[in-house]
Amino acid sequence: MRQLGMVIDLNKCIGCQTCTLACKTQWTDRGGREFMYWNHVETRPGLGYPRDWEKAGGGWDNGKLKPGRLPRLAEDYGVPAEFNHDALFEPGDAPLRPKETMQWGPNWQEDQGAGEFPNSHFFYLPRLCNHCTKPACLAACPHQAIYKREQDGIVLIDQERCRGYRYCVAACPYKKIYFNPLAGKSEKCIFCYPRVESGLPQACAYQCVGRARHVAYLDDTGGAVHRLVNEWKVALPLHPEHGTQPNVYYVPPLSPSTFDADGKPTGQPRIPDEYLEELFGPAVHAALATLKQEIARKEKGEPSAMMDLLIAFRHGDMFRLNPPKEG
Amino acid sequence: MKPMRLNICRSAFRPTTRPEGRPTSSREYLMLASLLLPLLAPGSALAAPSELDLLRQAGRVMEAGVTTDMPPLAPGDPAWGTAPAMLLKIYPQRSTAPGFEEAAPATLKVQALAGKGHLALRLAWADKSEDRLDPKSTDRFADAAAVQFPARPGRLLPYIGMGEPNNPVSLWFWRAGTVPELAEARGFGSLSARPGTGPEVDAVHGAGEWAVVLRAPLAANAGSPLPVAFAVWDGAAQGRDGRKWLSSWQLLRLPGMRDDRARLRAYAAEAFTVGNAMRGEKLAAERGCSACHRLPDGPAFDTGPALLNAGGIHWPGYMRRAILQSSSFIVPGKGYGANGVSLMPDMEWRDGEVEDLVAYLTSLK
Repeated sequence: MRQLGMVIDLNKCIGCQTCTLACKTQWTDRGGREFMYWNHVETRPGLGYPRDWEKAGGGWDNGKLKPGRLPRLAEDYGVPAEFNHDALFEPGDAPLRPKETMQWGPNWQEDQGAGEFPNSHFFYLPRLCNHCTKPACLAACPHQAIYKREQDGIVLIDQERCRGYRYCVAACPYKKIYFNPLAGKSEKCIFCYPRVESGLPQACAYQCVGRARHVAYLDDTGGAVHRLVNEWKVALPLHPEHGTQPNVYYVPPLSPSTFDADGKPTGQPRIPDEYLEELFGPAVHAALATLKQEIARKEKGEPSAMMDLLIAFRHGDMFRLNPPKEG
Repeated sequence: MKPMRLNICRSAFRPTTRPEGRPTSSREYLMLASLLLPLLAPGSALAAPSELDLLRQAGRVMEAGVTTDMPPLAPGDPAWGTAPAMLLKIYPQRSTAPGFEEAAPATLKVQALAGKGHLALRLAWADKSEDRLDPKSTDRFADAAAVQFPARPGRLLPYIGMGEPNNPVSLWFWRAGTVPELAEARGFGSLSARPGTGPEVDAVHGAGEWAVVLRAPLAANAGSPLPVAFAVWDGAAQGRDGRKWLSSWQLLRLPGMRDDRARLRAYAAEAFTVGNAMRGEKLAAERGCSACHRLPDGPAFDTGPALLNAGGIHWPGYMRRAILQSSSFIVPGKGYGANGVSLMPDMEWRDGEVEDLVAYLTSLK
């Protein structure tokens, strides 16, 4: 099986949500999908989207599926607000407000982060289906409605077979499968497979203004995904401990130094290494060291092939969607 | 009691493992006699009990009432007040995961009326809350009910859990708040839409009870008696898929149709065993059944389907087939077998052992 992978450089993500909108307008703007964000960007540290998804269970434990819970529409995803637009055309000074109080949303805690001034910190974490090598969702479906494609490893839900049982929603440790309550079926990121089949990268990757997303097959040794994941080992899966082997990888964020009580830099990063280890596993320390080392090289005017890859001088070089090999 | 008379009915439940013409042991005669005694009460002493009598005796037969017009769809229609009713024990599905582990058996009241080529089934069961598919919820489930028929009614009852690869079932499926479906299945997880006229449904919830009528044209190949089985789901208990209660197969006698004698004979053979449950339990332990199948108080291995409520949902004839022809029941995607061969080993069985095992499994309710 070939596997298409994505690397997202968190040092370049500016949280503009262009990826989110590229996805939303393409796939989830109607038909019971209004609350869904197949791609979204959440601020970390934070509870994320759906609310507190890291504590909602799922994934693997020694070859057995771990139990998980189903996020609630209003409380955990958030219902997109309807506004009282009519009021604007009426006399009086009623302010424009949502008709119902919103309880949550895809960027609910935007830019909140953690820590006290001057050591407050946050970073952005774009999230989408990881098109896992060992998808828990696929294993959890009692109706064999989920499959993983041979040609690119994209994980899809067969909408004809899906019966809306939602075992997949509970099983996904990233909570990236959404139940469409109008259709009565579960839906998820399709890795823009119709674009991929035409040799185009995913809408979220192509539209990224920060040039943060690279797309290539993992067996393409010249591609950025293989080079950053397997050669440089600076791109890591999110929460690898769930055992699903994600195929979306992240270059962890570096951060400026904290200040001590006298306002002097301490040399310690504002985003605690332990926090990044929680997200990306113990391999994050080596990845951060490599990043610092290569940045230092570049600062001294020395060449760094890795930095050149991450800088992405040419937009087109970030995507290598060569058609699958024959046979 | 004359042996002659017994011989007539013995054919009805002769174990399939027994070669023709082999004499029944004295122990088995005793078992048979005790089974038949109530039927040979004064008044009926002259007539041999028919297969239908035997099946009735075993609680496997339901009568459908007749209507001159289309049978009523409204659960409150007065016609249901006089329609024959049967109380069925329904069991939580625990044969395969995901199952309904924590639930206790429940009761389903079933009534049937037929007329103008249509069959209406009224199902009533206790359910505290009315749960409908909610377009504003991602975490709630709807109450549901289903009626299962053999897709090709014949002499062999399909596997109760959604049929089997070579003996499919057809289903009427209703979920509160959605359009009723006509479906078919060939084993766990194989449910798919079936072309044809789906059922009409009217459902009322009140006083902690659902009353649901499902009505559809009677299949041209239905015949009588028509095997029928039922399942209900409780949305409040996250009921969906295998998290349901199910009944065993029942035989529905349709008014104005002659009983199919061949079916009756075959079903009667499936409805009984002459084995000894206690010996069967010992045998199950000796043969290590619980290394793959869950049995009461046994380990939780799931290589094969769990047998916790086996006697409540299966007929003895199914257990017999499952032991002797396990490859008939392989379900894709469940890992019970490969290349059409069941993981369950073919075993050597001594005289009477299969029946003892069948009797033990039948006792698990």
